[in-house]
This record gives sequence, structure tokens and C-alpha cells, in this order.
Amino acid sequence: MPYTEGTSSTNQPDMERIVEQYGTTLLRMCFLYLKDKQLAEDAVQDTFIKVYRNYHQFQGQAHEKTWILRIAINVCKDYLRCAWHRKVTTVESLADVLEQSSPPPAEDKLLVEKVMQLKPKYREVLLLYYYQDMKISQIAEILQTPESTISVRLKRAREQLKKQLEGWDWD
Amino acid sequence: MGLKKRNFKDSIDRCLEDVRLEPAYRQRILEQCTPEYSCSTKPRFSTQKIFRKVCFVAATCAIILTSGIGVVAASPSLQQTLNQLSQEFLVLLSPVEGTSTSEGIRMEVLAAMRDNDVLMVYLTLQDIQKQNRLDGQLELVDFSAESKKDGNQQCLFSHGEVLWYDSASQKATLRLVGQAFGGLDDQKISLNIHSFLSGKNELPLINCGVTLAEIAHQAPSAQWVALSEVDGYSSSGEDMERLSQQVENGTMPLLQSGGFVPSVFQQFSWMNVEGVAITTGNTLHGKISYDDQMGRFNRLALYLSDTQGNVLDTSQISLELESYETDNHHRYTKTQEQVLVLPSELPLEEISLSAQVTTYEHHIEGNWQTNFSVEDASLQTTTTPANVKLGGWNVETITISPVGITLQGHGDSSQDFHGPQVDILLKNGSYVQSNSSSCSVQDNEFFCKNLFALPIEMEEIDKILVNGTEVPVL
Repeated sequence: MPYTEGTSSTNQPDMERIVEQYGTTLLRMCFLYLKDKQLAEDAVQDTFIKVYRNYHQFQGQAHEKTWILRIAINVCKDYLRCAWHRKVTTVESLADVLEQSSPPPAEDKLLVEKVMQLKPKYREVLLLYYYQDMKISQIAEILQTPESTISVRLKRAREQLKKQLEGWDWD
Repeated sequence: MGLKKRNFKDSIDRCLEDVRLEPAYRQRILEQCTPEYSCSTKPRFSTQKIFRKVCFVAATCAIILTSGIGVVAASPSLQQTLNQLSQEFLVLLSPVEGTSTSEGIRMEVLAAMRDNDVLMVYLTLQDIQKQNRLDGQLELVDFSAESKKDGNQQCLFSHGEVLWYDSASQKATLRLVGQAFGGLDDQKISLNIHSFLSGKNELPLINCGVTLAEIAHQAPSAQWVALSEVDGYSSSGEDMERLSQQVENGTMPLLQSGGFVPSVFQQFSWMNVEGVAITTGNTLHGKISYDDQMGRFNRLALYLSDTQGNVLDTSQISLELESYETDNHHRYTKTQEQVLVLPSELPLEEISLSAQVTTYEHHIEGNWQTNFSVEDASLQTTTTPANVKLGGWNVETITISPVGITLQGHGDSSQDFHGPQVDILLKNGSYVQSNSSSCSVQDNEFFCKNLFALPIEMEEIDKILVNGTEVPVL
């Protein structure tokens, strides 16, 4: 059945709804992926513009969230590939972001720090599974990677985090 | 055992509570998601997607300025310092007075010019402790120029170069060029320099004293693993696309162990050549690790040479396997694998392994910071239509100002984009070459900006050449 969530009468996407629904979680995920708030804002902006321009291509082929996350991950990967990007001094680090709000609990901060220290291939599966609540099959579709590979990466990501974190509530 | 999803998500959201889509930012996004919004008339702000194969190219600039009489808008001291520049150029500059001293090195910002999306800053660095820590080849490492755009901090793309160095006063004069895709709005500029390198030494080509046949013989049991992930890579040569594709597909083999270790590299304490070996696919792999001190900056490049010692022209790809970040979020290569495609026309007995080593004597860290204002110079610009094919892309307009040239166009986003070579021919028959270029590709649209080392006079332009194709100037 074609997926026709949130289109207007002229078949244009309802961008207000899309931005409202996905904006903040997308921004936080991109921040954790890119480790830079300004880059994350650029990535989110790029993502939504691509969503707007290509919305007609996705309908009926995938869940909207899966499709949007795939665009966002590819945008983040493009940013990471760029050698220039790696030389830019980040304006706001995680420490700066944390200092702007009331200090979060120590275990929350520790989790974020440890997630950001993971290699990108582990970080992305972890974020998609635990933060974006995606299934393995959906993550495989987003990353265009076999499900078996996703399972292995998720397992290894958990193992790496488990070593670093204590006192967490595990399944 | 696994992490509970709700705990994970709740923790992230609690920790990043202030990272959210603010109303003004949301509105800007929505403004661009309308049929009426045209990116061809207004470069998208803060869009920093840079085509991965073309970032910054710095080339030697050969520019001949016509002599003339102009109004000197600068103070005598400024003119004295910049007395090697032409009068026409000085008119475009705004004097700036800003100094900062750290680690016994004094930074003085002399002049700046701002127009549209370009910022040029002229400054000096002087070793006031007379410790010979500066020279004519110093390289800025950690530096930035920042401005504000729509209330947000905007980090400008920038590169710096030494224009001249006076050994008597131990003072270097530098130019810093910043570029912001999407335009510069604010007059206020914040200039920061945190580190630089000096004492650059490029050693003569090192003959490793071993042929590829000997390497193959001494490393028959080299172990290989499939590439799973790289932090980055760069390639060159006619096989660069194939090599890049191998990396993207995960079919590039990596040297795991059992490689030959040339003894000639043991003299360099900042790096470790873990092994060199040859694959059955006729590529030579060299695995190198760097320490976290001068290993961040010193470099080893592997080459192949013939029996006469001539360096062979080979395709190569350099894989950044591991990197580490410093506290200020700079990334440096920790482990690298250099891959060279073997020439098919020579037997392994006639090919030797060589290396180029570049070292730096000083890595100076400090905190040089100054803020200043510079008004928009509102330079004259000319936009001319163009129709120049770049593979699957087409240059549609060219905008030229005294300080740079911008190419804009559209194309097939499934086709690779390669930044073009742009030359400006003056009426006196001389060519102006760019000393920096950068390109931004977004969906099916691109912008390429080439900056000139020094401003040129627009009325002296005769032709513009894009990849050798002439574009008449209106």
C-alpha cells in the first residue's frame, strides 16, 4: 500500500509537519554523528531540503522515517569525508553544548561521551537502533548494508559501550 | 545483555536538551522548502558540502599588475609594511589595528578587505624574543576567522600563506583568506590563531635500498584483511577512480602483518613503517603509524623509482585508517596505508622503493586573538553568461570581481564533479592564476570560487578560460 503520510492537496510534502516531527531528534542524531553543532545544523538543513525536493520519489517505496534517516546519514557521511571539514575548528564542542544547559546527570553525560567516541560505523547503528528506534531491517535499508553486518556491528557497539558504562539497566 | 532503548534515548535527550530546532532556524529551513525559493540567485547559507576530491588547491600565483596612481587609503606605517603591494591594491584595504601577543610572538593585524563572501586579512607575526621560530615557510595549523550570519556564528573557510619574511626583524607578513558560502553579513570579524609550524625541511628523495622483487621475496607470507572502514582517503593518478571505488565497495585489501620493514626509516622517531608488501593485484601497500607529537605534521610519502632513480608516475591512494582527535577537535592521522599501483611495463627487479620525507622543526602553540570590523568594500562585479561543459555539468554563469571569480551551474548529480581550471587573460597578454579554489556541490547545483593572490583591474580582463574554453567577457 502506498505510503501517503502528510502530503498536501497539491502533492507537495507537508514540510511543517515533517520538520516539526523529525527536526529535533534529527539534529541531536546529526550532532552525535558529526560531533559539531554547527555542522549538524547544516546537515539537518541539507537533509530537509533534499526531502522537499525528492519527496515525490519515495512514496510507496519505504516508510517516511526510514527514508529521511537514510538521507540524513548520507549527508553526514559526505560531511565526514571532506578533508576540509576535518581541519575546521569546531565552534561548539560537546562541552560547550553541555555547559549551556543545566548540568545533566553524570551518567547521561558519560553515555553521550562514550557514544561520540565510537567509530562512525558503530555509532550510526547504535543511534539508529536505540535513539531512532529502528529495526535491524530498517537500519540495513538506511545504510544499504546487509542485515547480518548490521547485527554484528550492533553487537560490537554494545560490547564497546558495555565496557565503558557501569550501573546501566541492561535487557 | 543489551542496553534498554528507553534509557538510551532518554539519556541522550536529557543531555542534549539544549540541542533543538529553534524557531528561527526552523523558519529558515521552511523558507527554502518552497517552489519559489531559488538557490541560483542566493547561495544557500552555511552549506558546507564540499566535493570530496576538490577542497583547497594552493598554487603559486603569477600576477602582473599594471602600474598606476591611486589614492592611498592607508596610514604611512601600513603602507611601509605593505610597500610591496601596488597602490591599486592598497586602496581596497581598510586599515585595522589589532595586536595580540602570546608565547613571545606578536601578531599584528594590519589591514583587511571584505566583499560579498570573501574576507582578506593582512597580518604580521614577529618573534619578539628573537628565537628564530618563524621563517618564510611557516604554515598556520589551527586558525580561524569567524563572523556572524543571521545571528549565528559562521566559521569561514580560510587558508593562510606567508607573503614575505624579514629575517632581521624576524617578522613574517601573512595573508589570510576567508570565504563564506552564502555571503558575509556582519562587519565584525574574530580572528584566532592557535598554532603554526615552522622549520619545514623536505629531505632529498630517500632510496630505500630495496627492489620490489626483493620486497616480494622477503614478505611472501604477508597477511591481508578486507577494508571495512576508513576515516578518510585521497587518491591521484589515472586509476584514482578505480582505487576510490575499491575503498567504497570494501574490496580494497589492507596489510595486516608480515610485511617487509625497510631499515632506512628507523632514523625517524616520529613514525613507524609497520610493513611494506605487494598484492597479487599488483599494488604495493605500505602501512605507517605516526606518533601524536610531530608525527601529526611530519610526513612520509612512498614512491616507486626505476633503476636510474627516476620517480615513476603511478596512481596511488592514501587511506587514513585511524585518526585521533585533540582537545580542540582537530583530527590527525594515526595509522595510514599508502597504496601504489605498480607499473605494468617494468619487471619488479627494475623498480625500487623510494620515499619523500617532510619534517618541521617547530610546532608553536599559543593564543593569538583579535576582533575587528571591516566594512563591505562593495567591489565592482560583472556577471557573464557561459555555456561550458564539465562532463555531466554545465557552467551557466561566471561572476568576476577584482579579488576572485565564481562559477555557477547545474548538472547531473549522478556524475562526478571535477573543479575546473580557470585562467584570466589580461589585455597585456599576461595570465592571472588563482592561488586558491574551492567548490561546493549541492544536489545538482555547484559553485566554484577562485581567489586571486592580489586584486586585478576588471577593465584589463580580455578573456576568461574555463578548462581551456574561452568565455567572452561582456
